[in-house]
Formats: sequence, C-alpha cells, structure tokens
Amino acid sequence: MTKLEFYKGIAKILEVEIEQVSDDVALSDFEEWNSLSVIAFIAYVDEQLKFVVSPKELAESKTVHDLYLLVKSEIER
Amino acid sequence: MKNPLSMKGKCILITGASSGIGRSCAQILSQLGAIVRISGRNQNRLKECLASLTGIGHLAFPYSLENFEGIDLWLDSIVNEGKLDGLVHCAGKLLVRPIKAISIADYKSLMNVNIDSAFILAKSFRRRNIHNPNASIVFVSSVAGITGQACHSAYSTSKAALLGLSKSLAAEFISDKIRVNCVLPGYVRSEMYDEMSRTLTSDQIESIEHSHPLGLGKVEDVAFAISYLLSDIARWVTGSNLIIDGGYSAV
Repeated sequence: MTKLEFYKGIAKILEVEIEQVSDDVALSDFEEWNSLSVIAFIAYVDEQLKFVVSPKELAESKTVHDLYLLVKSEIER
Repeated sequence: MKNPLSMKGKCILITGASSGIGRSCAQILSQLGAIVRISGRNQNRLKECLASLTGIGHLAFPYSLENFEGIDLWLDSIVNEGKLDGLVHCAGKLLVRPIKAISIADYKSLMNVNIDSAFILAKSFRRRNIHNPNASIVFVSSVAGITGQACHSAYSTSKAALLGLSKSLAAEFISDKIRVNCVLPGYVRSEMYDEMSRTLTSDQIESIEHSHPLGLGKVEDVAFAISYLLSDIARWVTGSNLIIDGGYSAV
C-alpha cells in the first residue's frame, strides 16, 4: 500500500474528497472525525495492513500526518 | 434425587466448539454425562477441546457452516454414530464497526455464519433420521439482538434474526417434538471479547465493564444456561429467550 492509497482510505472514512486529506490538516477540522470514524480507522488498518493500531496512540493523533506515522513502518515494508 | 441437570444418555451437537461459549458448553455437557459431537473450522483447536472433555465417546466433526449445500450430508455422517438429542449453535462472528465501514461482502459473510447457517442447520436437524424425540435446539443470540449500540448494526441484525427464527420454529416443531430456545448473553470474557478489546481504549473497556451491574460474565455462565435448556427439566420451555447478561439489559 502506498501513502496515497492509505490517504484515499482515510478520505473514504471521513467522507471527503482525497484533495482534502493532506499531512498538515488537523483531524478536528473534519466533521466526520468522531468515535465512529476512530473505530472505522482501526478496522481499516487491521484489514488492509493486518496491524492493530494502539487506541491510546490513535487518541493522541492530532493531524492526518500523525495517522500516517502510526502505520508508516507497516506501509513501507 | 437424581441430578436434574443430568445429560446422561443424551447426544448433543455443538457448533463453534473451538473456543469460547461453544467449548465451555462441550466441557460442561460432558461433565453432566452427555456424549458430545463438536464442530468448528479449526481442527487443532477442536482436538484440544476434545482432549479437555470428561468421559469417553465424544467426537469432532470439523465443518465450515458456510457450506450450506453440504449440511444435510454432514449431519447424516454425524448420526452414523447415533441420533442427536440436542443442537447448540454457538458458531458466530462479531463485527464492531460503523455501518459506513461495513462492506456488502462483510455483511453477507456475517449473516452467512450468524443466521443463515442457523436456519439451514435447524432445517436439516428436524429430519427424522437426525434427532430423537424430545430433542432441544438452543441458538446463541445476544443482548445485542434486543438493545441498540453504535457499531453493532450488522451483528445486532443477525442476533435479532435468531430470536425470530427461534420463536417461529418453536411453534413449527411442536409436532416434531423439538423445543427451540435462545440464550442472550451479555459480554463474557472470551477469545472473541479479547480480540475486540485490542481495538478499544481503556476507557471504552471500562465503560463496557461498568455497563454490566454484575460485571463481565464467564463462558460457563452461558454454558450452564444452555445445559438447562437442553435438559429434561426444561421440558416445558420452548420459544423463550433466556437473558444471561449480568443485568446489562435491565438497567
């Protein structure tokens, strides 16, 4: 999976166009970034990368780039 | 007085016996004197379950219940070793996701395992060559079938469907002398719960635990209730939903 493909997956969860998903955008700027999207994100990463994101680390993520950092090592394998 | 819960002389088929409630059911029923036939997809875990049972004569019949067309032949092969007095359908999947993250394929797969297989198993079980008179079917539903929680839409649909199936079959199977009931567990400590908890924060886990006034359950809590419904002392119980949830749905 590439970083772009990963961001397309995030865009789908957030129900926005891919153009709105870039590194420095704050997660709080997305109307759909809520507890349900958090669960959807964890499921997405588990399904696509076979990797369980730490809920604690996810709760500390503030930007789209922070989400990427959670899975960077799995994407770059 | 003879143990009223004695299952001596009874032969019971348990699906989903590789783990959790299904495995506990097999263990407890064997302790109560039943001969059990256990089923699941994982042959190694079925072997481990078999080794943990009390008494002799128990057998494993691995099978993937999504193979609907083969269920009649599969049950026929099981009853070569003797007809069944009971069926406990514990096989099931959990899917905790908002509806936007559930694909049609995920939904259909869940329904296949959780409700379609129950329907087809019941249809196959009622054949005269499969069951003895005064047989009993127990479906493992869930309190999710009667309460609403976010991220449980598909799972709750499947578990609520079991309640409808059970009541209708209870009426239809009177002349077949088969009782049909559901148990509705709350959250119990099991492999399924452990897997789900990996994706939750400690606050979310604590919230689940606090929502059960008597705390989280154990698989044995549900297995004992299933044993009751299978036993002769439940002869007057059919079409019922037995809630085993530590008070979750009451508060």
